[in-house]
Amino acid sequence: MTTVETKGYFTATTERDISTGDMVLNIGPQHPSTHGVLRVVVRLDGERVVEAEPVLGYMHRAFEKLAEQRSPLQNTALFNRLDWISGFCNEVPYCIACEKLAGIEVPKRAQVQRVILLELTRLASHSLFCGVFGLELGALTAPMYGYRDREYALDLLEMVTGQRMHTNWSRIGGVKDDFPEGFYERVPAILEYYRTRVEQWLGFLIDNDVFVDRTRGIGVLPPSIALEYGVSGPNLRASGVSMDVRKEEDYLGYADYDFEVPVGEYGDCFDRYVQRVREMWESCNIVEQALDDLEPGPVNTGTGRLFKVPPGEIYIRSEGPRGEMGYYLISNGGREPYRLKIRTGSFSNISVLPYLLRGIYVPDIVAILGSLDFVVGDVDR
Amino acid sequence: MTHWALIPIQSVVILVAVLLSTGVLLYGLLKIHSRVMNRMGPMYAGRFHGVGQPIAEFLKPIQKEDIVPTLADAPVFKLAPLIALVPAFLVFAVIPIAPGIVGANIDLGLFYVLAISALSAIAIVMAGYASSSKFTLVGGLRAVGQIIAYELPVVLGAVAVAMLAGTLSLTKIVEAQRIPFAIWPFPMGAIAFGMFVVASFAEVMWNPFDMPAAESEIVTGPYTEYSGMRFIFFYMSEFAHVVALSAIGTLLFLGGWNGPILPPILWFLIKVVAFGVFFIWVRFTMPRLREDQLQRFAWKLLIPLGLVNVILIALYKVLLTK
Repeated sequence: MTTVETKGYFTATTERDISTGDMVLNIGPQHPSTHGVLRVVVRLDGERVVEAEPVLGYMHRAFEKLAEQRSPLQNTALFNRLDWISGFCNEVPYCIACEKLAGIEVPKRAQVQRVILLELTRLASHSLFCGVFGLELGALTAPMYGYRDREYALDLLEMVTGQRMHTNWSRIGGVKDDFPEGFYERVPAILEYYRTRVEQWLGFLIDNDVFVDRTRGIGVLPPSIALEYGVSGPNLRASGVSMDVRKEEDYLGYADYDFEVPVGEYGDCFDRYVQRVREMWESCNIVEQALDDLEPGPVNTGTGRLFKVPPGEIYIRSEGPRGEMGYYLISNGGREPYRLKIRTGSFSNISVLPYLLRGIYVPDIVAILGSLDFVVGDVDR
Repeated sequence: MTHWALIPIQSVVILVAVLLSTGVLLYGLLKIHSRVMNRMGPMYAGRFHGVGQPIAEFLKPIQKEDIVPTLADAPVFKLAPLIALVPAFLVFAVIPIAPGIVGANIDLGLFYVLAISALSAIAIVMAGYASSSKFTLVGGLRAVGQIIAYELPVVLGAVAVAMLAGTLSLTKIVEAQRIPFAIWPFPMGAIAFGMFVVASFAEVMWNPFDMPAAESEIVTGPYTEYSGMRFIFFYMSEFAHVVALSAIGTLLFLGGWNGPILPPILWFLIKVVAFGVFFIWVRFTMPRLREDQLQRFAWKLLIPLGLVNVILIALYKVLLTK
């Protein structure tokens, strides 16, 4: 004779020895919606999440240790693989850190070219997000559009660097080479394309009632919590905090460009989606201004591959598509860093998961995971 | 009554019809959703625009190993795909495609169709339970909730038509809506049709109501542990179900084979294809709702609306048509 009580809903008495309890569901590391090998252990009461805990480390590749054996040129190739959706955004801050330590003045043309490529990478990354987030909610067509849109920016990157994603183009003291012939002519049309696409994304998903039902009020991240956990990038801005490293730090001459930092209102999944769509628009503006800004001149200082980084310590922040991308570099005067700490946006962003995933339904887990837009390679490093 | 000697022949004809129509639907699905997604879809199998793709999709899993999980309830696990497939075939037996062309012209056609097509729910529950996986369990339970919630709107939509036509025979229902095009009296017919279409999506578990097999959440729901031929059985049953619901929708609401100039059978096929294209179109456009939102939608909107509709029709029949 056992009496079974289910969370105050009803009590039942049975002759058999049974009990009710929470179910532990292991989402990942092999699961269609975890973007790689993130594992989330959730305790479920029915379909309601009691507790969730992200388990990291399935994709740890010891990048910080690897970097200690590699010269800057090799390191940029390595850091492309951190967050593979936006490879170029990872290599530039590392080069800036080395340049700052060495006191190298980067030519203006190289700075502007870096900005153009950075913003194109951001466009590629955000347009992929805009599509793939649809897949999390079951819109099977959206990811195809996302992948297609991304290709336009990647085409430009390929035209310049020869690579779509792992560009390895940034060098200490500038970029590897000048833009190729015909690049300037192609960019405006593609920016125009992205602008029309931004409007189509707004129409395709944001005007869809089912989409709004699934995202409005789901995974609300209050600004105070976001700041406590160190959330950064579009996720933080969607919560209403106007924090953009491009505005705060003086790097790559971002201060010269006229662009806005859009912020969200409620910090739910819907806001996080709209945030990225709006940032695509701003990125288009930046690229457009940067194109006008290009002056003839050298694109690098001709620093050779045997360049040694002078001893010292420095922390460099930058705004990546996934949040604040930072490198803490300690050099003892060799080619290789003595110690390198990589601060990535995704890692801090998913640390807020236990807070966000409490008390929601299973389908919302996927919506929230998707809306944070993390890359597991960026989380585990 | 059909002569006993004809029954095997009829059975074979229906079997072929089902396989053919599911194949055509699969090809249409692959091609149409590729169009929607801005790509080409299958282009190689069968040489011409991938027309051989449905056969390839069917043949490949046959070669695969038949895996039964160690902890699974093996007999139930093995039986579930068959239970899913058989009702899907049985439904086709009573669907008339033109005057006189029908497997079994029974007077309770509509009743039979609804009863048999609801059977596949059992298979999904069996699959979800027997696989002994948490994902399948969640998927199976979602499927049960969904089918309980959406069988009612389908039935209420069909009942509305049965009341208007005054018969449960599918052939007679089609004959009742011969001419003109505006088939059933305005608000009632439209409400019944809308309910039927919405609930059909939930019954076949296609977007926006595909939560039981929501890939991004619970892998493939009840089918997660299935592989090879058994997996394909579930898919064939799903596709056959879509074809069947398209045909039933055509018979009940779109006037069946009625239409000018063209021969009746062609009209019927055109309408069924249009229905199927609509199914595919919506499936690949909409995101997925959440299970609780779906339940709210069914119990708070569709079912009360359906009941009101039935009352309206009763009043209409009693007051206006006598």
